[in-house]
Amino acid sequence: MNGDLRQLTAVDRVIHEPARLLIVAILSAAESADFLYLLRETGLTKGNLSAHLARLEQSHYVEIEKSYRGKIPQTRCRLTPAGRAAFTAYHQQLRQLMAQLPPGGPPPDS
Amino acid sequence: MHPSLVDAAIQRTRRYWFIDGLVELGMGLYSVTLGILWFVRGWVGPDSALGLGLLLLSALFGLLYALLSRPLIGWLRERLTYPRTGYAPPPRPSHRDLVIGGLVGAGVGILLVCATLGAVILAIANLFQPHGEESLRTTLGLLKILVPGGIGLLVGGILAYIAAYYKLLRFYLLAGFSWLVGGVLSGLVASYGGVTGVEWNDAWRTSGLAFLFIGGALILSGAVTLRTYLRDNPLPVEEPA
Repeated sequence: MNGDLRQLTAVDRVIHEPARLLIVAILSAAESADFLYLLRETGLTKGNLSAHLARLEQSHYVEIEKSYRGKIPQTRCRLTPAGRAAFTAYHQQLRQLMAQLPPGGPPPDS
Repeated sequence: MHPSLVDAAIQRTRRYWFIDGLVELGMGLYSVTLGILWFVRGWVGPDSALGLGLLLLSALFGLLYALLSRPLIGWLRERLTYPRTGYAPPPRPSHRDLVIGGLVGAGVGILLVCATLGAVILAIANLFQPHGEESLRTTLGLLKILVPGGIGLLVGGILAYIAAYYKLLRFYLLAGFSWLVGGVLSGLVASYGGVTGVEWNDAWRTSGLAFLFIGGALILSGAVTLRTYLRDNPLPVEEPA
């Protein structure tokens, strides 16, 4: 494997998971987002989304604020500065790796 | 995941801020109000006390729009949009964004003032040349003709920037319409009074008309977008905790 491509093993695995990457990408663009918005945009089930958000919160990448609007529970999620920095670094890393690939995909193993 | 898919998710979230048409409705209402004020100013005479009052009123209205449009749209979204499709407001502008925005705004303002002053100074300098008075009238006449075109160009430029940044087709159409309105109105003024026959009243009236037409198109686009959004996204049935 090309030495630079070895960086692939060093990517942030919390963010690397596709569903979490999508959540973090969405949160990076907005001030914050609620559960309903994330549910609609990611297409995940409620349970799955909750589990991924809990994992991101555990890694201190996302802050979760629970409140009520009348009788309706509201969950608002916000990217923390650490989460934003991790996402920016991951995004940059991914771009660098993609730029190193030859046009038409990776070369076959010799 | 390919980086372009990540970018697409970010872009989709940014486009969400225009999903309900409220931004267009706000811009449209501001533009129509400005159009009415400017049109009436041209009608009563820009030099009259009422004309001056209307100019001050349009400046005050611009300040109010800049200060209140974001909280007002946010308030409407809390009631219309967020309960339907979720809460994801744009990030609050950072100090850096505010400084850059202020500098760009001030730069455009200074550029416009310099261009106008430059044209007037050039025209006054021409007064000392043979046929100078005629030259002054021509320059001022050209300025009066170009004002509605300039408004169409400027507003169309802002709309085209929004269209390109957020990848929104309807904003390209609105930008094209603004450029068309500006061009047609400038052409009409030129054909009506000729270069030297245009009065300031005509310039204010046609500028008012430019804002009215552009604002009308924005309101129409916003209303259609809001209606489609509300139809396609009914309020979900509440599930108490």
